Amino acid sequence: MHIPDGYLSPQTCATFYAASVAVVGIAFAKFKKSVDEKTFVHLPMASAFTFIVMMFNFPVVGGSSAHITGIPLITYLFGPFASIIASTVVLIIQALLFRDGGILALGTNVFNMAIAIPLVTIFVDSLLKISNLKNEKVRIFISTYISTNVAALLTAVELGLQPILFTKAGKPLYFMYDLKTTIPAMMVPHLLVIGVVEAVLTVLLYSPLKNFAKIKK
Amino acid sequence: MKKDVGNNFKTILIILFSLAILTPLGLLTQNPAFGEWTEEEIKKMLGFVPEGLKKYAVVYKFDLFDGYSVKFIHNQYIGYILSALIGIAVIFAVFFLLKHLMTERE
Repeated sequence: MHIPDGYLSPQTCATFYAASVAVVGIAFAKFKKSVDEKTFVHLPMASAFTFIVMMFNFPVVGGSSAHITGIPLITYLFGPFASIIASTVVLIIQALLFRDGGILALGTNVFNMAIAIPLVTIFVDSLLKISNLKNEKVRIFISTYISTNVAALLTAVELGLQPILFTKAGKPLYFMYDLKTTIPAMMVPHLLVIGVVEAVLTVLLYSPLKNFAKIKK
Repeated sequence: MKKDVGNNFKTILIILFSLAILTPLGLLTQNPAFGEWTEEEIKKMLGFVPEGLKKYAVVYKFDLFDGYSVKFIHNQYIGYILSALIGIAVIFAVFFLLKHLMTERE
């Protein structure tokens, strides 16, 4: 899900940089207000956890590979704002140090993963709460599954729009496959495999880690 | 109690390090992720590399740990584990710095 450089037009990159800087800025302001002693004990560990989890690539349908992000889990543990900060830090480090995801594409990658996943997770969870779904595990499963797939869909649409919007002499300038290819290619593995794996792991790890995250004072 | 914090911290560090050592499992699939191909792979697929893609793919040149392989280590599994450990260390350093900056301002 980490878009490399060259795949997106400068216009696309600039748009998503602007959006991401705004949202991460707001999240940082909120995060700063809620910071306490244990924040800096837990958050680096949460960040490190998502970083490590994203290194586990596994084969998926259609002959490609993919990975989960662990972001829904840290969203449930620490709330959306801390989760946005923790995963943005990971994406910056991945781009700068390991060239996993581009530098120009960083704003887009932050938007797709570090922003969309926490916000959609919390949004779907509150919708389910309002509709009186009392079973927490079912709520976690559904909102994780949906947020993972929203992130994949965002990536698919951003990539798939490139050859429609940006061509030169009939040839694509940046990413080469349009929506007809990118949507099924991204969505089938995420709907069938990755979304399910992410959701199951989040449900399984949430309860034990929830107690772990509480520090007795 | 301070002791609880220490115990939790230690346990989580052990979990993180165990996961780091297991990361080469992520290398068992050699399939590239959709939309994360190299220029060579794109050329093989299309017969050409899009002009803009070629131009912007190279804006950033730091490649010591390119793709979680370490340049001076030839074993890809060891390189991958080392990248995992470096990543963890850098993340902790960033948050340490952030903590410092945020508490100093108060």
